[in-house]
Amino acid sequence: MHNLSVNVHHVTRVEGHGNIVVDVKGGTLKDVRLDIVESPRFFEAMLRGRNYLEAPHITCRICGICSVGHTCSSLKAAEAAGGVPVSRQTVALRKIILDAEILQSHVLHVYLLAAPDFLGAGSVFDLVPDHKEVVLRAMRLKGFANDLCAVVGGRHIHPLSMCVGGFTKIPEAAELEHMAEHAVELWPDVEATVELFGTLKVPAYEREMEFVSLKDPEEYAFYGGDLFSSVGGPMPVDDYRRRVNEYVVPHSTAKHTRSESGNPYMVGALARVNNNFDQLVPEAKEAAAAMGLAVPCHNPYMNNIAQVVEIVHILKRLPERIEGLLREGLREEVPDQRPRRAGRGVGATEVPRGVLFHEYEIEKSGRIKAANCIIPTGQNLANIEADMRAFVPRMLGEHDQDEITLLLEMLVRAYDPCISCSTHLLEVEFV
Amino acid sequence: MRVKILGVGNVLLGDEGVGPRVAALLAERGLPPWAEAVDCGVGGWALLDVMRGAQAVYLVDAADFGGRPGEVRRFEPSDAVSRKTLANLSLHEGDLLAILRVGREVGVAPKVVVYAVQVGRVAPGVGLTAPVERGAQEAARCIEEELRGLAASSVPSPPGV
Repeated sequence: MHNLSVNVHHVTRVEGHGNIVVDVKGGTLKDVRLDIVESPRFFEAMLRGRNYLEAPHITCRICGICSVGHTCSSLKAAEAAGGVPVSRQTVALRKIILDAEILQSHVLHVYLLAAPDFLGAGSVFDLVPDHKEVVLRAMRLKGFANDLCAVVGGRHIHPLSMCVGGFTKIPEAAELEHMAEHAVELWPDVEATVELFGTLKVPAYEREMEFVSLKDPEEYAFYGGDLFSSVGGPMPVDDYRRRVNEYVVPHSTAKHTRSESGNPYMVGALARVNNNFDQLVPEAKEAAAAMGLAVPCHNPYMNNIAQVVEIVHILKRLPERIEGLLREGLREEVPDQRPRRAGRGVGATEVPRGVLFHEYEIEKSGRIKAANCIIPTGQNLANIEADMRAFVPRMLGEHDQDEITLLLEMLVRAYDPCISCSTHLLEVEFV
Repeated sequence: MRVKILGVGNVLLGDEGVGPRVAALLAERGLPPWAEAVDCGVGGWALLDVMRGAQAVYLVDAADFGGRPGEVRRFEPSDAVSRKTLANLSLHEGDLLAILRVGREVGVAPKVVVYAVQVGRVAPGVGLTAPVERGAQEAARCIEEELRGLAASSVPSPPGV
């Protein structure tokens, strides 16, 4: 094909869009872009001058899907800045609610966003008539995860009880016990998920790339650990600015990032599975094999499969996590929220789409002087464009324009970029 | 709990936060024991989990229907069509009416009434503009009135159930 023009155009009135633009003239790739207006980073300015105790409650409103993740990164940054210690119980509860959020997001992503492509449906709305049982399974898994968020965080959306220094309210042991039992009951749904995604034919496009994620010697990392790169190795999270180098590109209001190697890099489920495969539970490793994922895997379309691997890992490990906490006995704890010092703190957490950084500088009073927040989508943008630059010339010889358009949409969907999640306006006409 | 009032929207973006404001107003003023107001923030698909178990749901959201700022419209999902055009590239794009439709098809099917409040200023910042604050007060009063009507018609179970 000599000429190709792909323009997947998306417009919302308020802000934020994701346009895929590919232009091939005379067999030469002229232009490849993913235009995304990142949610303006107004919340950084919004945090300045406020007390650091408010930061998690403000930043959790940035995103309805990664609300717990923003809360965790915010709490860790605030606590690191002010030198506030937290208990083992607090960390254990945060790990459980973070597991729940990642589980919820992955289920929504693989079933509602990715699966329709593979099952020949335009979207989840077209999936219901012919694949209702698939949608119902997704709803069961998602419902469990969201209920667990409510049990630990006190609310389904935007956790209420997570605060600097701990929790304002400790969940009921009986409710946690019930959730642990429910997790076990859902195992057939997990197996059915692996079976379904094992049958889907994932586009086979590979490009050698760098993977960045947290890495924890104790466990498969979501909540903590060092900042690890498959190229550059480990680095303390405090030094993240050496690895996460932001730069401005003309076509995007969102900054792109490159690592200290000078290359774009991928964050998210596939990066985590590649970097931390050995720490997955055996069932998750078996699921990876059953779905054709062997590490190192450099096919970004396999991010969907990596998410299913993490669904298996999380649901297998959750009952044990909860039982372990209950065995130690839940204690009422009063969070000690006094900042001990003025300082700077970095909080990094693995959220569904990759590593999320919050960094705060606070005064001794707890007043925030400066804030920085780098979301996974910002880190993945350069990598998605590098994928498109590498894959489009190959696709040209193998597919027609419609197929290439779909393949590029599927690529972007595999990363599930955060597009304009900060607004929620109903735009309606009355009939 | 049989009736839920879901306040939806982003409180960091001015008038976008009118839904959570209405939920807060209702909770402050007190609701019958069979009703609950929930601040749902920027929730999308998770709204279906909040709705589970409710017989009736009042969904309060910021909206642009071409009205004057603060204007309140009550409608049922079947009375409106979404003007949103989604590229379907991300879970982060939400279309509430579409989510409700899937919910109905998979059995999360309470009776839903939407209270839409026309926004004025949607821009970074916490707090509503004066007309939209008046709209929030009006929406809260209307919902309280509806709850009194529900209690009188004994559709929900009596208090305590």
